[in-house]
Amino acid sequence: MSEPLLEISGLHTSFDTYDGKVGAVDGVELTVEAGKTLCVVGESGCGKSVTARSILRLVEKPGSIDSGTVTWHGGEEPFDVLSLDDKDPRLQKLRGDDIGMIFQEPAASLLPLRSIGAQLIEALRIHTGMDKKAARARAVELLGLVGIPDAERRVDAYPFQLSGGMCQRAMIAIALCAEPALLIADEPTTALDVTTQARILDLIRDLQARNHMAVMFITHDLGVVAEMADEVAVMYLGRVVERASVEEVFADPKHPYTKALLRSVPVLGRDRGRDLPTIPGTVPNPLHRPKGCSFHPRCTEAIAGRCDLDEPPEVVFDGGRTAQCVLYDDQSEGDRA
Amino acid sequence: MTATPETEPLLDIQDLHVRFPVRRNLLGRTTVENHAVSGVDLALRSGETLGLVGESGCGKTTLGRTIVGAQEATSGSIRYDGNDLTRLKNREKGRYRRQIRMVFQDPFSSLNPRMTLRQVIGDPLVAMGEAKGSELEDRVAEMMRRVGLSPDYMDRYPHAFSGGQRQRVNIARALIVDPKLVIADEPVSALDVSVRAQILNLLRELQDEYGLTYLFISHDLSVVENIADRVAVMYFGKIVELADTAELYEKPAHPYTEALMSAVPVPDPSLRDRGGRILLADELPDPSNPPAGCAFAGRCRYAEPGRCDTGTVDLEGGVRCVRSEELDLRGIELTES
Repeated sequence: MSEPLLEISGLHTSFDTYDGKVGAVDGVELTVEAGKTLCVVGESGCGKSVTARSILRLVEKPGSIDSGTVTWHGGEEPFDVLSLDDKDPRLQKLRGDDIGMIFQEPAASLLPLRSIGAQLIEALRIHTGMDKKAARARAVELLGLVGIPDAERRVDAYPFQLSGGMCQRAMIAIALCAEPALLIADEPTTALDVTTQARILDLIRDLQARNHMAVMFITHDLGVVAEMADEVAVMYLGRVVERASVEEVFADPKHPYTKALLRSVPVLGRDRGRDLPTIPGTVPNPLHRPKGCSFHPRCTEAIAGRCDLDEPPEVVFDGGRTAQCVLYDDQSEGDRA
Repeated sequence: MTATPETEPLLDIQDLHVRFPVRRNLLGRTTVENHAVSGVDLALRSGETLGLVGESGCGKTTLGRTIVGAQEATSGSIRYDGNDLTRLKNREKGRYRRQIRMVFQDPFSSLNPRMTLRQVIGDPLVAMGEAKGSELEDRVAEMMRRVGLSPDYMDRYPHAFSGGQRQRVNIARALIVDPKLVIADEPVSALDVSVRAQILNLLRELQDEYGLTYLFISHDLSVVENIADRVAVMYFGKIVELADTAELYEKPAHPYTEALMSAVPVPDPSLRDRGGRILLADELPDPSNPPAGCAFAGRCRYAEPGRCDTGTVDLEGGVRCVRSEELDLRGIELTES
């Protein structure tokens, strides 16, 4: 294993609602290694976006980060982001300088009344201290780098004048302008066409190779995971239920949820015209988290009297991959720390 | 279950055009128009599922909306049951409204939040004066059971249900008046991956049971491959390729189909560096000023100046490309399930 860049441990983030406190993130453990890509996979409501936002402390009321640590190793000394004072300069530096973030809806994350150039120039001036003229020249260069044709002219375009893919590239340019050590990409291609998606994925990979940047890529698309990931974390209802290398996850998934997910998604050239294996039921409301293993009501391998009562153990396999499931409890007893 | 070509098509679209006014002059006359659908010929066979794929903005949704009568056609004809739907008087339209139904993409915005499931699902029957009182209730209950919802939920409101359940409500509402043709516009795109398979299987089951014909609109090529008997590829308001699913996916005849297929990420990390992905420039032609010749020529890597950018290119033998005979295009590879 190479050196960790970001370590999340025991993270709990919840939201106060009229119906009670919803534990969106319920004890997440994750590590992003320097220069590598971690894909976080899961369905809506599994807490993947909230986890990403918690890293930069962008959780707004009624949400709150209740406990856990987010250790940043990218500075001179490692420090816990969650225990920093709001005004701590290290927090400011983290947001945008050390960590860049892109979101799913580019049109919603760009200001509609300012040109993309103005927004990019502002980010450049804040993070790199360039003067206006240098920042503008750099902005044109960056827009060209992310594949916006005719950047010289497009720098003065407003978001509504650009297509979704173009806006997403502008977002990427803004996120990357300070050459961050980590890029957090939250479903950056979900709203885009496959052809545009292919170009954005290529772009992120290129930039990563050039800058030795780490990427935390949040998605529900297993195809994208296979294309992008070094490591994969599968989340379900606020927890990481399986973590392994991308080859391990696809060749030999351990957690029943991962297995079911891989089977139920139609794959080109594999599932023509046939009934797909399904996962019964739907993702439960986190307000009514099932007792024991959260997945047991939908799990075909659940053991009555165990999975519906006890919290699943975190099983560590040879090579370091993990799964939260009783099925592997005994066989790896010797390996467990 | 593909019908033989000799049978009379259920729905026959000929040279359909839909244009949207963009700008008018002082006298209110349209001076600039966007061509959303420009000359579509498409026939749906009874009992088949025809997939309609293409990037956002290609006109596939407009085509679907025009068939159900939610959008007026500028010219051309849609023949159904001996009548041209585009020329019907409002009074006559009612008859067809029950035979051609639509299922929308977003299960969250397409259901009235102030109506109970009983009202939402039963509304088409009430509106057509078909049933009331206990008969209405019986039919709603029966339909709910058919789509996998418990009739006990009849008096609850949509907000209490998950995306998958709401899509079942949408399907029930579409099918309760016993239609022949269902236009499904991205019916699973907004759903969690673990419930997509359930809805796809349900649509297949209902098709067999009620002898339905589907026009299945989607940008997701894996989903379309799973459910469709034939597939039409739409680009810039025109059908550029139409073929049986197996043929289209394994031996695409239009360069655009090939490029679309190559852009789909495959959930197998061992194929990551296989190459062969065709990257398309994302510059689409201006819809208010369509180019001469093939609309795809500007992005096509096989385009030949002087041949592809002049005159008109017709849909011949299911493909709209002057060079298709001489090209050896690559399709998808089949994988073991």
